[in-house]
Amino acid sequence: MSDTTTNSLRGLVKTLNDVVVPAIPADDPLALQELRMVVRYLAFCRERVEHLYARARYELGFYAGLTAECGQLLAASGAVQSRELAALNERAQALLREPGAAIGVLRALAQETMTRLSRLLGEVDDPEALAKVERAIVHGSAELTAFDRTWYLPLGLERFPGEVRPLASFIPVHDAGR
Amino acid sequence: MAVADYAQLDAPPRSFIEQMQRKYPTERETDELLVRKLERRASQTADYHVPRLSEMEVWIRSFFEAHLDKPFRIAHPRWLAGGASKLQVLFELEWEQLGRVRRDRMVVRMDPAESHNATSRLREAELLRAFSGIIPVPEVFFVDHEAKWLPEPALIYAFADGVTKPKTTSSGAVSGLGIHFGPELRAKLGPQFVEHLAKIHAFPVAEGRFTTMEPPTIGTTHAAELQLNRARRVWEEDRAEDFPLMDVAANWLQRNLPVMDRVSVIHGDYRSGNFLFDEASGRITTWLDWERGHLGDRHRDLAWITQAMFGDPREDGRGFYICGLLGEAEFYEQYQAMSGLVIDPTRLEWYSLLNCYQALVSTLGSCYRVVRLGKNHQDALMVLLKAEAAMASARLQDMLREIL
Repeated sequence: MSDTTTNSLRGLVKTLNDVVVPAIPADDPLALQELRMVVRYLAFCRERVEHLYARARYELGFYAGLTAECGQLLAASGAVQSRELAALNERAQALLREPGAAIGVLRALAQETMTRLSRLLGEVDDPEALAKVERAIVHGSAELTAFDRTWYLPLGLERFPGEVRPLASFIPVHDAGR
Repeated sequence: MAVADYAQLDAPPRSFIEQMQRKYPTERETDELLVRKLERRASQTADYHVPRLSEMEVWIRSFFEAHLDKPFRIAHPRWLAGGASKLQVLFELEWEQLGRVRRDRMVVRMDPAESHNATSRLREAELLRAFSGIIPVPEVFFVDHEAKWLPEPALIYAFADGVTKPKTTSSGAVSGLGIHFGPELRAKLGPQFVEHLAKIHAFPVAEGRFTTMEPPTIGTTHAAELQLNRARRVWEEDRAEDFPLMDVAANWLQRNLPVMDRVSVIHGDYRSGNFLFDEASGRITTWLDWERGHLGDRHRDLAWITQAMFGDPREDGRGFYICGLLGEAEFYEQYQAMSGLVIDPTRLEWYSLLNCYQALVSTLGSCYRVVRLGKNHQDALMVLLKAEAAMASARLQDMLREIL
C-alpha cells in the first residue's frame, strides 16, 4: 500500500476551506484568521512533505561543507580548532554516505555542526583569522538562505518571488502527479 | 561535542536567568519583563488554555466593579484579529464619568501567557497618553499593569475606527506585512505617515515624564548597547538551535556600536499594519502597537520602517515602496524636512542590521518557543512567521556581505 499523505492533506485543506471556514461566525475574526492560517500551512505541508528527507540531507551537506571550509581557513593560521572541524566534516560525510540514515540523525548532526560553528566565532582570538571565518560563513550562507526562501515560497509570503530559485536547483525533486 | 539542549529553555533554571541578566544588561523595565517571562515558564501548569471569551467577559466585569462606583453595562464583547502578539477584546461600555453618562467602545489589550514579544502595557499606556493630541492615538482609559483583575497585564483603550489595508487587497494577510495600497492611497497616506513619525521623534522627551523608561546617555553607545543586549538576550532565551549567521551579525554589531546624538521617543514598530485609516478620505485615524516603544536613537525606527519585509514591490520593478507608501529617497527627504533631524547613514546601517537581527530573533527564536510552549492564542500565525525568517536571513546575509 503506497503512502497517500499528500492526497490526504489535499482533502483536509478542501474540507476546511469548503465546510469549516464558512461556518465560522462573522463576529469571530480571530478564529477565522487563525483557521485561514492553518489551512495555508497545511497546503504548504502538502507541497513539502515529500521533500523533508532531501531537505535534511541538504542542510547537513551544507553545514558540513561550511565546517570543512572554516577548518581549512583556521589550519592556515595554526588554530587548534581546525582538526576538530575536519573531524566533524568527516562524520557528516560518512553519515551522508550511509544508506537510509534516519532523518533525526541527519538533523541532529546538522545542529551539532551549527552549534560548533556558532561557538567557534566566540573562540577565535586572532582578528585576521576571525574575519576570514566570518566572511566564509556569510558568503556560504547565501546558498542556504536562498534555499530557505525557496522552501517557504508555497506559504505565499515571499515579497520578491521572482528572485526565488526552483526547488530542484537545491535538492532532487520527483513530481509524479501527486 | 553534543547537540546543545535548548529544550531546557522551556523551564530554565534560576542560574540561567541570572546568567542572562549579568551577560546582557538592558533597560530596567525590560529586564523585569524578561525575568518574569522565564520565571513563568517554569511555574505555569501544563493545563493552560487560551482564555475563552466568556472568561474574558467575567474578568472585564470584575475590573469595572473594582474601578467604577456607579452602575455600568458591558455589551457585545467579541475578539479582535490583527496584530501578532496580544489578546484583544472589543466591547461596549455604558458608564458614568464626572457626572456624565458615556457610551464607549473599548478594547482590552492583554498579554498572552507567553508572547513572542515580552513588553509592558504600562509603557504602552504612557506613550499613548504622551502623544494624545499630537498624533492620532486611542484614548487610554485603564491599565491593569499587575494583572490584579485580568489574568495577565492589560490595557483598556478606546476602539478606533478604520482599516489597516484597502478592503479589496489580499496583501498584508499576515500581521499586515507587505500591504499594497495602490497609487491613490499612497499619495494620501504617505505624507501623514512621515509627518507623524517626525512628530514622534521631535517630541521633547523631558516633557514626557515617563516612569517606565530612562533616557540613554547622549554622546555614548549606551542606547545601541541596550537594544543589542535585549535582542541577544531574547535570542539566547528562546532559540531552538544555533545559527552561525546570527553570531557573525552579533559580533559585528558589538564591535561597531554607534554613538547617539539625541534622545527620541522610538515607536518601535512604526509601519503599515500598525495604523488605521479611513479608506474614503485616506486619513490616518490612529496609531497602534506601541509595545516596542522606548527612548533611544531615531535611526532605530528609520531602519525598521525601511525593511523589505514591510515593503510592497514597485510597479516599475525598481525595489519596493517603504511600508507600501513611499520611495526610499522620498521618505528620507520628507522626514528630514518635517522633523529637522538629520539622517546619519552609518547609524542607519547599524540599526538596519540590528533590526534584521531582531526580526530573526522573533521569527526564528521567539515564535518557535511560543508555539512549543502552547500558551498563545495565535499559534498558527507564529508558525507562518517562519517564512519571514527566510527573507530576513537573506537580507542579513546581504548586509553582512557588504560590510565584512
